[in-house]
Amino acid sequence: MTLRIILLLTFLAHHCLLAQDVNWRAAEKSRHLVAAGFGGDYTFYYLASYGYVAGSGRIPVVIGTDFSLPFGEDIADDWKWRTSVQAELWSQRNFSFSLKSSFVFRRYESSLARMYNTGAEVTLLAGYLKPKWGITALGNYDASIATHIKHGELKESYPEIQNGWYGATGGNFKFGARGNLSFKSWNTYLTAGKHFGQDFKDNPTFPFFIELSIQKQLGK
Amino acid sequence: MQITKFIFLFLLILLFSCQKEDAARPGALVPLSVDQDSTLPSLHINGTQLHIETYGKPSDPLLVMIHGGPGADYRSMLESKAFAKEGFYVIFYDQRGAGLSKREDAGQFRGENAIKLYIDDLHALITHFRVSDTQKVFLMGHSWGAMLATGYINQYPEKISGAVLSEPGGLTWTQTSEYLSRSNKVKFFSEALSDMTFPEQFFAGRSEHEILDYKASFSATYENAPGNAIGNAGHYPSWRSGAVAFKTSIENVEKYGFDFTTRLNLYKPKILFLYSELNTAYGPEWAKTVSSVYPRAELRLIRNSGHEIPYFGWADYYSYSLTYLNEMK
Repeated sequence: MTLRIILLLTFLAHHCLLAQDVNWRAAEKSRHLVAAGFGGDYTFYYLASYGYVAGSGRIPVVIGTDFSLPFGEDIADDWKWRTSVQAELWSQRNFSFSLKSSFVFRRYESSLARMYNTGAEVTLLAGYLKPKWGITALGNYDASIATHIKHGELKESYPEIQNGWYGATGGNFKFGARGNLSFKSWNTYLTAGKHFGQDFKDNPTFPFFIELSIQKQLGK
Repeated sequence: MQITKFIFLFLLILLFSCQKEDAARPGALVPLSVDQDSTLPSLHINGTQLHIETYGKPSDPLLVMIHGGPGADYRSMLESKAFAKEGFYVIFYDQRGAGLSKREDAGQFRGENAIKLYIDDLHALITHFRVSDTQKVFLMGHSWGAMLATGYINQYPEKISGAVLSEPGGLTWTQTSEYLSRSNKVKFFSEALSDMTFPEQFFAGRSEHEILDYKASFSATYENAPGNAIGNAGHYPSWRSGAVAFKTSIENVEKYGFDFTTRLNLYKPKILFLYSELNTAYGPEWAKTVSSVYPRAELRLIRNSGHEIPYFGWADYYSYSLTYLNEMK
């Protein structure tokens, strides 16, 4: 099964998808979007991302990828890799409506367990975007598809616990807002909002998220 | 292009079609509880089913072991069955909704009398096992269990001949929340925090107790991570974190508070009060403050141990407790 996941991810990576903040009015001027940032989203992390502006016709499309690592002493034991496609489905004057769909792959390791998780995300964005600035409301659903768990200390406490693949273990909603400022070929984004578990009862320990990123537009 | 589409679809089908375990299946990620596994020792009492083990001669003085939490279990205290060889009838129980005891709905822990329910369970248990009016009863409580033991003594001072209390956070909610602000201080940007909260991304928004209990075990990684404030050397044995019992009990005391000290001045026997050397959130001053409401308290430092005294500080814990219990017997 691990091999299947690796094959799938390799396929996706080769076809260069994206998870990238976009100011559609500014993105029209470039082909490549490179960004770095940090934030708090369940845990505190830093990230790097790349996006490719693929569509320039009736429906602008940006495809790419981002990779985030939580802060902590063990640098690479936990990470999140997201690949997405987003498209501006409608725009009139400065109003914009876009949709982003993503495939998510996460790794987690602690003394209790090592996990590989696959998930899917969909994000709706409705904003007022000008070339120099913009503000956007966002709603997001992140669903877990499958998780492979290799148990650690819990195996000592409960020997019958099974290593292997577990089905969907839940999902979460995000609702928030994003503001952006653009200057020449640089964009900055500040995103913040609130998380909920998919049942709106089992909510995360830190229910808020925030991210600050800076992006450079390259090429045309 | 057609070939790549085909490969993509094929890989997606493989991903979604493989055999996957249901995380919510009883026994998959956390052990079965007494209502799910009839081979586990249990007792139906006070409207619930508790996981219970007893050791020793039933006519000997009762020694009731009360674990921490709320929501934890007695597994890390099991070495204390050694007291049975010293002439005590040792009773272990997982509290309502915790450990391997039957899970209970959150509603049971929400009412104004929810904390009293824990005391009532303990009272029902003592009443069940006490075979004569002259049989002495001793309580050994750890952390929340030491708080609960005090709650019981406050309500029934005449019934208890002595108690060994290990690091109760506080004996009122005000005192406890002050201690928790030190013991559970959040270290942002730490590995310990990531280890606790990162899995909440994909274990999210499910209400099944099995999944909530599994998630709760990740909080223990934070509490016992290297450099933790409470001085624990690492992981210690447990069965199941009763997530619902823990979360709703904490919400309850945040809303209603508690004060276990109102009648402690009536309690005449000496108690043994233990605190650990490595718990930097506790220390001798806090031990003096918390124990001061008891008219007679003997304080003892447990060396080379963190908060989980009955496990990490077993040698001193056993030695001091046995000396005290034999004196009070």
